Amino acid sequence: MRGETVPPKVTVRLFHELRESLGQSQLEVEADTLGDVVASLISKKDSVRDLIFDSRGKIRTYTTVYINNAAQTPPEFSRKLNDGDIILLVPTAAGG
Amino acid sequence: MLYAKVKRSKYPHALIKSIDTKRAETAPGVVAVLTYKDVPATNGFGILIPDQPVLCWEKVRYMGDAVAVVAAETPEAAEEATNLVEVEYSPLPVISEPLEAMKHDAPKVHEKGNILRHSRVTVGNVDEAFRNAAFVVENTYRTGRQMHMYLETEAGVGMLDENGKLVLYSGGQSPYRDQMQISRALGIKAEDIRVISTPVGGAFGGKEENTVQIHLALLVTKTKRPVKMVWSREESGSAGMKRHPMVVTMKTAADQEGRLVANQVRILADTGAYASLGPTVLDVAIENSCGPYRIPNVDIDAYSVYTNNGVAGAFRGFGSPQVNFALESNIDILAEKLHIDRLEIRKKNVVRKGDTGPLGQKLQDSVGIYETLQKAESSDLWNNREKYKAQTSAPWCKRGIAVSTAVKGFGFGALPDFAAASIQITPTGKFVVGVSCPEIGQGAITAYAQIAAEALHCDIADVYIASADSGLAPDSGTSSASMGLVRGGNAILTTAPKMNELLLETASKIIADQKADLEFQESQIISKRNPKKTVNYIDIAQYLYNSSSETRIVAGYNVPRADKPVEGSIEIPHLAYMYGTAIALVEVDTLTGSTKVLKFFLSTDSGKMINPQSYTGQCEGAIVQGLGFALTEETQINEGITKTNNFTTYIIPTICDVPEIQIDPVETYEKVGPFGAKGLGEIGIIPVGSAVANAIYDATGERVFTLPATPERVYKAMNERRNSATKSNR
Repeated sequence: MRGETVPPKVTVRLFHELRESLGQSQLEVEADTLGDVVASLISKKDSVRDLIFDSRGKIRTYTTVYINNAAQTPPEFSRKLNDGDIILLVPTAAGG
Repeated sequence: MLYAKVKRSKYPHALIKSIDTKRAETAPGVVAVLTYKDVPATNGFGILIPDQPVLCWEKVRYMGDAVAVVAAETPEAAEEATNLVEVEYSPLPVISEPLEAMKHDAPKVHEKGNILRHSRVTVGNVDEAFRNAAFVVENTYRTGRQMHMYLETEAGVGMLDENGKLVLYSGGQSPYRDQMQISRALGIKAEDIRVISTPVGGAFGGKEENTVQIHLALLVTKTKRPVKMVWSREESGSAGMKRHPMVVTMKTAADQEGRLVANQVRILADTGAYASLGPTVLDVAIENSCGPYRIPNVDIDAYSVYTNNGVAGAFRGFGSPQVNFALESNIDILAEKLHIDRLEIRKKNVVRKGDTGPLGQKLQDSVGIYETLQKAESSDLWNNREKYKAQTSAPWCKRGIAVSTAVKGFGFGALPDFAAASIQITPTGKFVVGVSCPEIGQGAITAYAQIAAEALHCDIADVYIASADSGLAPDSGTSSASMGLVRGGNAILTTAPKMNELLLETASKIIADQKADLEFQESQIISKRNPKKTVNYIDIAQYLYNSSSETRIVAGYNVPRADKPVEGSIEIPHLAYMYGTAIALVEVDTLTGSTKVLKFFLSTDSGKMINPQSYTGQCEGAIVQGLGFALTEETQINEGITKTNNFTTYIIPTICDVPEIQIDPVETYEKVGPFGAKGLGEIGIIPVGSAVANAIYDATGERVFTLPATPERVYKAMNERRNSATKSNR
C-alpha cells in the first residue's frame, strides 16, 4: 500500500533453550527493531519470554544478543535494524 | 591429517604492535597460518561472556592467549612454524594480585575495569547478632590455584564430511555449547557443525569452556583437510582452566548453646584474564559459604576480579571447597571455645527437611545431612579415633582426626535449563538412545543405559547410548554442575513413555488386542487376557520398518528450578542439594611438616544410587582430588608466568598418597531426579580440604589458614609457636 514501508527482513539464529523451545535454530523475521524481533519470538511461544527476561522483566544477565557479530551489551531494544542483519540470541545456559 | 599448534603470547600483559606470519607461511610443511584477520565472525569465546579472543589482535592478557594458529603436515613442522610467527609486543604492567587489581588506578586488564562481578547478599542483621553472640571468631583463609590435571590434555580432530559439513571430535563437556561457540566465531549455522564430545577419563569442569574447538574449526574450513590438535602438558598447564584462588575472610558467631547465629563473609576470587564461568562460580561460593547450616543472619560480600594470572573457571566444587575450608575451620574453632564436641556442634546446626536455608532456600525435599553426620558418628574411624590417634608411626609424628560437612546444589539453580533425549528402535528390536551429555569418566553412559533399560522394559545389553553427538542426539545440556545424570536421566524418562506408547500401539495392531489389555514384559508385550498372545520387540521393530513408520522419538523437559534468584545473584539458590560429611585421620611429621592422610570416611546424600560402583568411584576420585587441593596442588604463577605446568613441578596425589577410604552413603529420595537420584560428582571433594586442615590442627595444635597445607606451611605454623614459646621462656 502506498506510503507504507516494509520492515527489514532479518535472520535470527537461536541457541540452547531458545532453539529447543521454538523448535528451530534459524528463522527470518520482519522487524524494524531488536525489540520487534524479541516480540516476534515471544508471540510464537510465550515461554520464550522467561528465557530472555528475568522475573523483573530485565534481560537476563549474560544472555547475549549479537547483531552482525557484534555483542550488544546491554542490548538496545529500540535499535533499528537493516535488511539482511543477522541476529544471534544466546541465552544464559551455564552454571554450577 | 594436518597437525595444529597455537602460537601463544610471550607476555602476560602486553599490547600487540604487529604480527608477521610470512616466515611461518613459507616454512616446510606448513599449510596454513591464521591470525585474528581469519576469524570470520565474533572474535571471542566464553560460555557466559565471550571476552576471550579466539586470536588476539591488539592485546594479550595472559601467557596462554592465542595469537596465531598453524596447521602443518607434521607436529614438528607446526611447532617450528609457531616459532617463526613474529609478534612485536609492547609490554604492560602485570596485574598479579587481586587486591591490587581492585584499586581504581590499577592498570586495566579489560577496558571495562578489573572487577568482573561484585555481589552482596544479606539476610537478617549480622551486626546485632554479633553484639549478642556468646562467641565470635574471625579469620582469613586462602586457597590455591588448583589445576584439573586430567591425564588426557585438551585435544580434538576436525574434518569436513562428504557434504562439506564441519565435523569435530573433541573432549568437551557439551557438544551443543561447543557448537554454539564455533557457530558464533565462524558465523556459520549451528546445524552445519557436528560436534562429537568423545568420552574422556576426566574433565572436572576444565573442558566445559572452549579449548581446541574453534581453532580446529577455523583450520579445517581454511584447509579443507582433517586437522588434529593436542595440547602439550605444559600448554594445558599455562593456557588451561584453573580453580579460582580465593581469599575468604569469615566472621562466624554462636550463642552459648552452640547455635550458629551469624556469618559475615568476604570473598575475593581471582578469575584471571577472562570471565569464562567466573560470575557463576562466585554465586556458588556465596551460596556455600554458609554451608548446610541454619544461620539466621548472613552478610556475604563477594568480588571476582580480573588479573593476568591465567584463566580460572569451572572446577569440581565450583567455588565451594574454598569457602568450605573457611567455614568448617571457623566452626571447629567455635566448638573448641564452647567445649562442644565437633560432631555435635554440626548436628546441632545442620538444616533439616522443611527448614529454610541460610539464603532463604526452601528445603522441601531430600535433606540428608543430619543422617550423614549420624553415619560419621557411628563409623569405626570416629568411634575409635583415640585409638587411631595413638598409633603414631614415629615418636616425632602426631596424629589428628577431624570431621567436616558440605553442601552443594546441583544444576543451574534459578537459571532456565532444558534437556532432551531421543530413542530409536532398531530393526533388530534394540534401542539407540541419544543423550548429548558427554561421558567424562563419571559413568554417565552406564547410568543412562540402566535408566533406559528400566524404562523401556528391556535388557541393558539391548540399549546403545549415542552419547554426546550433536548429529545423533538432541541437546541434553552439559555434563557439569553434578547434573549429567539428572539432566540426561530425566530426558530419557521423558522420552521413554512416548516410545513405550509407540510400542504398545504397534503391538496392539499385531496382536489385535486393545492397548489397555497389553502389558510389558522383558523385551516383549503380552496380552493380559491371553498371555499366550505375545509380540517381542524384534517383531514390533520389523512391523514399524516394513510399514515405513516413525521409529525415533524425541522429547525434552524443562529442568525444575528455583522460583527466582537470591537478590544480588544470577544463579542461586538451587532447587535441591547434595550433602556430605567427611572424616580425615592424618599424621603430621613434626620434623618436616609433611602430612599424610591415613584414613578417610565419606558419607554423602546423593539421593538414590543408580549405580553403586559408579557412586563409589565418584566418591573415591573426589576424595583423592580433594587431597591434592588440601596438601599439594597449587599452580605457582609469578608475575603472570606459570612456573608449575607439568607433573614434575605440579604435584598431584599418587596411589602412594591414597588413604584407606570408607564410603557409607545415605540414600534419600529426591523427586527432581530420575528414580530419586541427585547429583554426585562434586559433593565428595568439598569437605576434604577442611577435614584435613582441621585434622592437622587436632594433631599439632596449630591451624593452617592457607591451602594447600604444604610441609612448609605446616612446619612454619608449628615453628612460629615454638619460637614464640622460646621467647616467652626467656
